[in-house]
Amino acid sequence: MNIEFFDVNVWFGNLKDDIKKISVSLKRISEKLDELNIKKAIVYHISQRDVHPEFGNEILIKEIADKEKFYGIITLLPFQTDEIKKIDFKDLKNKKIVGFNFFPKKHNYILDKITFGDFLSELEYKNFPVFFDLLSGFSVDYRDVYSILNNFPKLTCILCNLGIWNTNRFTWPLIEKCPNVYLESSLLSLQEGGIEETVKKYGAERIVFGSGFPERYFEASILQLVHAEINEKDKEKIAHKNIERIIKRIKYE
Amino acid sequence: MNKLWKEFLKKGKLEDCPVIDIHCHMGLFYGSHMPYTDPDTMAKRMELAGVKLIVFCHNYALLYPEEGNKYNIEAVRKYPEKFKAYCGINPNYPEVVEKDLSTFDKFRDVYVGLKLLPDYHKIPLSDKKYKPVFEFADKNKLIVLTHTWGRSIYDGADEVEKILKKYKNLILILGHSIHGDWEKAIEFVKKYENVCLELCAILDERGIIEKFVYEIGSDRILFGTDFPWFNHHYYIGALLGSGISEEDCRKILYLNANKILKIFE
Repeated sequence: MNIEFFDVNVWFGNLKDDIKKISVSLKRISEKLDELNIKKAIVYHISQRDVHPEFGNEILIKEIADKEKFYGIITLLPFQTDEIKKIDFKDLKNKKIVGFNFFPKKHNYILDKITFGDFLSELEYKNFPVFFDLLSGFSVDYRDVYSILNNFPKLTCILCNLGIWNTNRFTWPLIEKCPNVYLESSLLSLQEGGIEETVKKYGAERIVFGSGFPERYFEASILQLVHAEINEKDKEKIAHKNIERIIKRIKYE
Repeated sequence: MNKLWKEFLKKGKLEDCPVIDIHCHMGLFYGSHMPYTDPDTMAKRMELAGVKLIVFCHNYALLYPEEGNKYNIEAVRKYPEKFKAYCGINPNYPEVVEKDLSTFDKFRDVYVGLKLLPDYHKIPLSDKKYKPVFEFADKNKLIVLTHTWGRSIYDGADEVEKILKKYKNLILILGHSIHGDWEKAIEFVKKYENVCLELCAILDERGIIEKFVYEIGSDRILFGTDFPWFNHHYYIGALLGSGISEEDCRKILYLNANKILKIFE
């Protein structure tokens, strides 16, 4: 079976600090996607996190504009400081933006109802996805996610980079209570039985394929999913159909 | 792209490229839900990726040694073709360690060596409590798999080197390759003949295996996953995606481990 993939967890740009030295262009990513039958990818530019969201969002929007296979996630800050442009949802559609991410631990603010309450309510209504990174230490931890979903239980929320150890004790209660929570697959695939048992318990609809590239290998999560002990229809849902459905549900108007 | 990638992608496992996983566990663990921890399920899951042999230490043997090593013995005797074990050593229980070492020879069909977990047991490798363990291993030329982690006061590079300087006959496998302290891991392979690096918690990060192979070649690198923590296909995919050669992949996946274990023809 030749499964096609839609990767929801990729970044590009240059990351050079004391530990990591990664430099990857969208062109290079595009070549890898072609090689591995990954038809589309949702990406952000690492400077959205490491320089400033406004700086990085502009690069992202410009870079993906003429590249059909890429969609983007823009990074938000509290609107009160006027550092980022006002969100115009109709315009986001033209720019192929399909989600927001947040790095409150890096950008020094509290991601909660006080800071983002009205906006998160709007996202909840519009089925507009937010992408949370649970691994980097720059975004959120599970306690933050629980707090946000307590207040906005229908928020469309894609949990990325779930954690290195098995995270079922954190994620399964969320899936059970919050109908629009989805798990990005890269580190779920790393966990022995992670994909299989989540599918068995909650259905394949709750998982979306991701690689974590360039910090992890595309090939790792592809090989695991292709040979997972789940049926072929479920593999296709995870590989690309679920995220396509999530994007179609967005109300840009 | 490594041609093994295409074949693994198509078939999931390869007859001519079996896998030996040198760093595994078994059984439940307090800090993590692992769905497939019993010997029967593990033996079945190994077949998916063509894993011919795992060398494991049951979590109970490491955390509750009075009872624990019997689970190692039972599992290996049930699946002698698929499982070999490390005798779990917890130096917080010196009387159990003494007993396990004194009866080690009775279980030569079960054990290939010893497993140490200093970061969890909170005792540095060079502590006197480990002395009889290393002396025993060195005298008997055993494999010792130890958890290692960069900057740890228990099993970081400084502690590892104290052992390597002193014991030349045992084979020391650095579980997780002194995670994060990659330069030291490389230096030790260059400097000491009886040390190997192991890849658990390495292959979920791009760039490290490439660096290892570039600096020291692949002869002293062993495939390990902490299974049933982590998934074999995920780690195999990562290795094959790293861009190292097919020959290097084969050495890492099974040839090097087989050379040390001397189990398969």
